[in-house]
Order: sequence, then C-alpha cells, then structure tokens
Amino acid sequence: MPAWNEEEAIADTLRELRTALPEVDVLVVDDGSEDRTVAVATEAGARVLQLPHNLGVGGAMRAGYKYARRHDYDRTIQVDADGQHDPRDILAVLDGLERADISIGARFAEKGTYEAKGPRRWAMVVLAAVISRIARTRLTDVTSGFRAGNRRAIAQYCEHYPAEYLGDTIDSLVVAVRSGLTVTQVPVEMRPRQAGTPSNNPVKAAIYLLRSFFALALAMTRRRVGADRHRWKED
Amino acid sequence: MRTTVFFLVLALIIVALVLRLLRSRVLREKYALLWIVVGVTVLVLAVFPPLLHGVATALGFAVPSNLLFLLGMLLLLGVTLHLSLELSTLEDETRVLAEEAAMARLAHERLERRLERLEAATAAPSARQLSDRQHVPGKGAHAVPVAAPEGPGEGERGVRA
Repeated sequence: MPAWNEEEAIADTLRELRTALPEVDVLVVDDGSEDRTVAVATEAGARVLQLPHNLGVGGAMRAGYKYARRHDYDRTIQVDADGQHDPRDILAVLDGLERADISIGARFAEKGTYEAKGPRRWAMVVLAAVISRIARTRLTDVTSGFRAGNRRAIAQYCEHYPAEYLGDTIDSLVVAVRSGLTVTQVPVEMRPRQAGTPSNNPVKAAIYLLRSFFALALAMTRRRVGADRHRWKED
Repeated sequence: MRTTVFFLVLALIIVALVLRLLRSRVLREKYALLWIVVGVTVLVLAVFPPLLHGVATALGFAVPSNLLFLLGMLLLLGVTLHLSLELSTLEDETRVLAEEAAMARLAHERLERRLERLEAATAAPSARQLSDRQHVPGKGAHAVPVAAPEGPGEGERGVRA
C-alpha cells in the first residue's frame, strides 16, 4: 500500500483491511511523508517501509515489490491508502491470478458507479483500448492502482517500474505485457476517497491526457525488459 | 598578433585549470576529457590561426568565425547532454539506495521489537504465561501485529496488500 501524506485516511483503510482479511501481511510503503503517516500505520499494525525521500507512486511500488521478492512472496496486491478500494474485493482480484500474471481490479467493468468526465474520461478510454489490443484481452481500467501480481509479475516490476508520474500504472503495465506477461481484469466497485478531493479541474485533466499518451508512447517504444531473461543479482 | 597571444593565454589557462582540478581530484577524469578537448582545441587554433580559416573555407563557411560558433554550440550541447545522462544515472542510483535503506530500516526495527519482546519475556518468565507474551507492557505504539509472524519468508502466507 503506497502512502504519501495519508495520515487521515490510512488508519481506517488498514483497520478495514485487517477486519476483512486478517491473514494477509500488510506492507505500507511510506513515500517520504511529512505528516504522521508512518506513526499511524505502525500503530494500526502494518509493516512500514519508510523511504527516506519522496520517490513518487512508482518509486514506492517498486520498493514494495522488491520487498516482496526479497521475502519470497507468491502473490501481492497493491491497494490505495485512501480507501478507494474495497478490501472485500481483494480475494476476487487475487483469484484473477489463476488465469493471468497480473490481475487488475477495474472500474467501468459492468460493476460500480464510477464516472469520469471530459478529457480524463477520453484518456482512460483510449488508453484502455490501446493497451487491450497489446494485451489481447479486454481491459477497461488500465490506470487502476488495484493490481495483483504473481511471482513473474513481481520479478518484472522489480526490473521495470518507472518512478515518474503515470509510469506507475501505464508504463509498468505496457512493458510487462510486452515482456510476455498476461493480464486479466476483475470488475470492482470503487468508492469515493475517504479524505482529500479528486481533481476535476479541466486543465489538470487535459494535462493528464497529454502526459498519459506521452507515457504510453514512450512505453511502446521501450526495449523489453524480460523478467525471465535476465535475473536479478540478489534472490 | 595580439589576439593570437590572448587566445594562447586563454587556452593555457583552461588546460591548466582542468589539470589542476584533476590533480586535486575535485573533477573526476571521466568528466575531464571533454574539457581537455576544449582547451587543446583553443590552444591549437590560437597557435595556428590560418587553420580555422582553412577548415572554414573547405567546409563552405563564408565567415570563419561561424564555424567557431557552431563548434562551440555543439560542444556545449554535448556537455549538457552528458550531464543530463549522468544525472539520470545518479537518480536511478539514489532510488535503489532509498529502497535498500528503507528495507534495512524495516528489518532493523522489526528485529529490535522482537528483541524487546524476548527480553521482556525472559526477564519475568515465571510471572507470565507463554500466550501472554504479546501483551508485554511498555511497548505502546510499537505493538507488533499478532497476525504477522516475525521472520518473513514463509512462502505459504504469500499475500501482501
């Protein structure tokens, strides 16, 4: 669970997670928060990986996957700290790993009431269409941060998980697919965030559109980084 | 003639400065090569002014100084690109270091808490039952989740959220 300045929401999210799934190991990756995120998460009983400075969501995610690989986990799932993802859906998303290496908990997939408007919506639709083509499967929500992965996915993410904005979702996914990993999606319902406001500013949405296409274009031309081809030195 | 002397002095100063920085190890040699090239080029052009003129006419430059400007700009472009590349490498390296530092810190903290618990348990073993170990007083915020055992690496509980 990547967290950056989430002291308001993270306690409830963790409590809910522990109630729903007491048997899982919870790792919070603190991305250089300046508030009490670390203290709150530790108190709530999570392991907290504290990055010494802010690396961005992608940076936090790769740190988490490296932890997972080092400690030899079979499966991982990333969940937002703001309570957007319902912990009761976690097992369903994990079940998706039966048929693919990466399983995405997706909005817009029949279930749920999530509505995005304007440029942000267009960006999501086009990105989903393009990545669906590459992955040869129907994906409706490629920017979702609700993603499960098996050992292959963990190794792949350790090799390639850009720290840049949007690299965390689009780029890592596209390169994983191009490296031969399979993807599937599981429809889930997203809830409104527990704290903080989602941005509906049209200018920001337009910038989001441009940046996401740029990230996609870059990811498409990147060299394949095979998780199987060159193994990491550690292990 | 006076400009020749001026450029000669300038070139010598550049070369001397780079060598001095290299000697005192303020500048690493992988960055110095470019600057030595700059110094030597200026030196050569200063000693043989007709060289610039000859090369410029051969390449079709109407004004020889334009060739000089072009070379200067290309060189600066090269230097900035080189620096950007080095910066990217450095950022990647700090990222890896940050990950390693975070993992080492977490491992350390978990060990420390475990040690605290063990010490508390061995200090008064008769006073409490084995099953009470998790409730050692004085741990406050350091309470360890009961569901998550120490010593990660058990593959069968392999789900992380």
